[in-house]
Amino acid sequence: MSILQVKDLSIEFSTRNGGVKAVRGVDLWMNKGELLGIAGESGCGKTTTALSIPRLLPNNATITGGSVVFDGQDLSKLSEAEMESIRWKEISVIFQGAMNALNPLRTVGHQIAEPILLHEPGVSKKEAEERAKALLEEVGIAASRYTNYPHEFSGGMRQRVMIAMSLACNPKLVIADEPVTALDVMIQAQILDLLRKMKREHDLSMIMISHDLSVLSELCDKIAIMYAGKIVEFGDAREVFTKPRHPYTIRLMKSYPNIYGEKTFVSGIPGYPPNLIHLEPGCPFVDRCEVCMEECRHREPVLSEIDDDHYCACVRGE
Amino acid sequence: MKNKNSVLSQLWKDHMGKAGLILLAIVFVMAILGPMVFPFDSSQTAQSSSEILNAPSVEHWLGTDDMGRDVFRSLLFGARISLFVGLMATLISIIVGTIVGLVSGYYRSIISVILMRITDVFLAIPVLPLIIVLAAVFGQSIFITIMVIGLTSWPSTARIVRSQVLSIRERMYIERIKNLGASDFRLMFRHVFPNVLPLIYANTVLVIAGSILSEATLAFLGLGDPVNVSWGTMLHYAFVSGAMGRGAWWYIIPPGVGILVIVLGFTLAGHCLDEITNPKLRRV
Amino acid sequence: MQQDKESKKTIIECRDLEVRFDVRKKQKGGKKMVVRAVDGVSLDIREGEILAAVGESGCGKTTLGKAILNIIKPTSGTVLYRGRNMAELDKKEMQKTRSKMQLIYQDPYESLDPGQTAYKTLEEPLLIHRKDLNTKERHDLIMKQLEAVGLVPADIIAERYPHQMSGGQRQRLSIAASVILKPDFVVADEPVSMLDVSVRAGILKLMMDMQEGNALTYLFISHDLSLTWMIADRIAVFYLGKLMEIGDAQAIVHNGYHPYTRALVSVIPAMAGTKKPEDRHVLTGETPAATDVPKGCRFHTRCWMHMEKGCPPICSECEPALREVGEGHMAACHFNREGLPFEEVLNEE
Repeated sequence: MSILQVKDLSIEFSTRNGGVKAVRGVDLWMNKGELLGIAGESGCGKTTTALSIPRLLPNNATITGGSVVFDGQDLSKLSEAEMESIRWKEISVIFQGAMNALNPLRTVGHQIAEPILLHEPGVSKKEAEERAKALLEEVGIAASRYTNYPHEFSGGMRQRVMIAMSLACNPKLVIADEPVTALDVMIQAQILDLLRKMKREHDLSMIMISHDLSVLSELCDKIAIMYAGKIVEFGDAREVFTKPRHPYTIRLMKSYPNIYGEKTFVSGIPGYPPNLIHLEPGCPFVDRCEVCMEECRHREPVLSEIDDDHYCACVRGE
Repeated sequence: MKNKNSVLSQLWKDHMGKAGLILLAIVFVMAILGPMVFPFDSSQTAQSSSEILNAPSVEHWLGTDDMGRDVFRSLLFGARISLFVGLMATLISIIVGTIVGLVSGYYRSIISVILMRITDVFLAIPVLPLIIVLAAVFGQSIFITIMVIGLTSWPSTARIVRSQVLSIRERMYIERIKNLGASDFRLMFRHVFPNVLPLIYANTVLVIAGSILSEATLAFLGLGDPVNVSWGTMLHYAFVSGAMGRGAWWYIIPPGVGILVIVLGFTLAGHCLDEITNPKLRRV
Repeated sequence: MQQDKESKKTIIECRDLEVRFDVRKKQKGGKKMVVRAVDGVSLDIREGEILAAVGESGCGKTTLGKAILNIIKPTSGTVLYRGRNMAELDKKEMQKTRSKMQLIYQDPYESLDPGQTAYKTLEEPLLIHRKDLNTKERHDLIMKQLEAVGLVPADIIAERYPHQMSGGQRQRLSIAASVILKPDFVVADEPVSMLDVSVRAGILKLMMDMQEGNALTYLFISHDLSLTWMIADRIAVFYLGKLMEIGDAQAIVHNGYHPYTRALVSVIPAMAGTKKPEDRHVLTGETPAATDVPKGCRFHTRCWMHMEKGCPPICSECEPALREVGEGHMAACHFNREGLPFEEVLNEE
């Protein structure tokens, strides 16, 4: 059953230097209970795309086109007040680096209970506290630490608090933006295991954004690879990772050392991503693509089905 | 480092900055060209009492003062004095404040402690008693005024510079260049100081505003230079000669507005400059 | 033993190196708290090799690197550079040594002076250490260096400020500033962790190119085990200020003897479709604070082996010494037996 359908989404940022076309006609969809991973490097538009779903974009961003249908409802048609009732209750977000944005003057327990009190007016303070304590236990923190302050926790534990906070109102969809990026590799593994567990126990659908493809490959059911504001490859994670088709995906995967393979140097991708203010016509990857053809310079490829649950935006694949 | 041209154009683009620049332009033109075109001689006093405190006329555009002198020319001359005192006092303040701030912020040793205590002492010196004492000993002159304002305003610059130096000192690039074998001197003047400079520029402009206001205040209280008549002195004489009671608005309002314009000009420009040099303050 | 294998000279030797910091807060007992950042490390770095120092945050790898370069003064122990004790060098010799040992920083933006152009950034080391060069010679050397690190066209990039360059370009400039004095030892502190994945390979390749013809030795500090496996000759694994295991990169990753090493390798996220072992050891809890190092083997509080084998008392009483477990491969664990493969150690009673 489909829970999210993004069609032809386009978002532009107005800056001093001009309009930055951060997202350019993005198509995405996911079913209930799935974990969708959005991967890409800095500036590709992954965070902007994901945060546009609960409409949490900065003031200078405008959605210039497309639709976002969540659980049957077209979110782009809702007013701000209606969106407020959806945020946190239906869709919650774990922001990037949020573990460093906890209010230092409030106890951790209070900060978990806060969304409950804000979004569920009928709930009493006592009940909210009970629920918060239960969430703390679920994420592996003793309930007695309800009265501790953020500075008394380590980075990994603060991220657990953020996860608990995101689950406070029992949402249907959780968007996690680089949830393990700043953490040590062992804590990373712990947090990923925790996210898997929470997803299972709370019957959640999840979107995870990361620049680390290897982290996503362990966790996701579906994967979307973004480049220069567009989805270049999308589909079932196993399919995409075992049989990548887009030249960018292939090169990107090859940029990760594989300890189970030969001890050789990875290749990386020479060159730079294109300027999103003054875009050249044609495929944005053209200057860095090994297999580009003359046609690639003239028309931008569309995301099309190349296999069962496997889509690719490449002229060669069409 | 941004070159001067782009900073000026940035000031001009901002509303606040533009307003400040315009006001300053007016004042500078008055101060520089004014007395050249309309020379003022403070010794040329009235011959008869009929020339005292006359209302504006064709001959005297802003009337005459309590000594029968032309207020308009006095105003133009006063612009020069006010500006001169403000700028000179600021020069002392900034030079002393920057050196103290730089050295006390850079070194962590006893030097820093001593300098900070000296700063505290100067911070505590009350302006009024100081100028009264100095004026009593050396006589009233603009140089006394400049000294007093300079000596009592450098501590706040020192504090600001010091805190900026303290934060720059911890930056990674300072550690890197230090480990390259750079001497303290090199680090201070080639790496720390240039990165504090934008802050100093912004602070300087605001200090000028403050100095001019200080001078106006001191002069109004009668502690200014009786010969080099600044706007504050004009207001002082207006007050003591009873111009207010006589309704001689032409003597009171122009210098008052003048002070307002010059202080506002520097303040607006200074705040705008602060925003330009410190991106965190920018109003998006 | 190791001496026979060494056809290469040792360039850096650390003997019982310790770096401790005093903390202002006092413990409940009134004793002053001490952070044992580097707690007795002895190792040799061979000329021309890339030795990786791997571990999680707080393990002391960065502090070790800085202590070797004398940026942070060691509290005790010695560092020998080409056989000479660094602590005994006079000011002049120290200055000369400084130019031979450099550090590449993690953050490509913070490590550059924002007010200096690329040209000025590269000129600085020359002005300090190569006073024998005149302006033209300096200019030529700087241009050549820019080209050598791939910052072309050199004359255009030379006039750029850091904020006008990309992350990869800034890091290249950082590297250029480090190698322009032709050092023979460079500590690279997480040089690519703040860069995009596709850019990393280029920077790493550049670092390796700098080695050729220059006889350069690297101490490569990183938390990324798969990256260091790819680039390093040997890997040293650190935990809470002490060396847990050291050996050839392949041996450490595929045949680690220390349970911590094994745990780290097992949680490396592998791209789907690549082979993965069944045993995944996600350690519970977090690394203890460096002010409160566990007694005995400092890893025993989280050691999965310790728990599997019924928590033998020796682990909480006695700190294991580094022992040889294979050729050029040493580990500090009570369970290891020389010559015995790890799997058999696991099955031992």
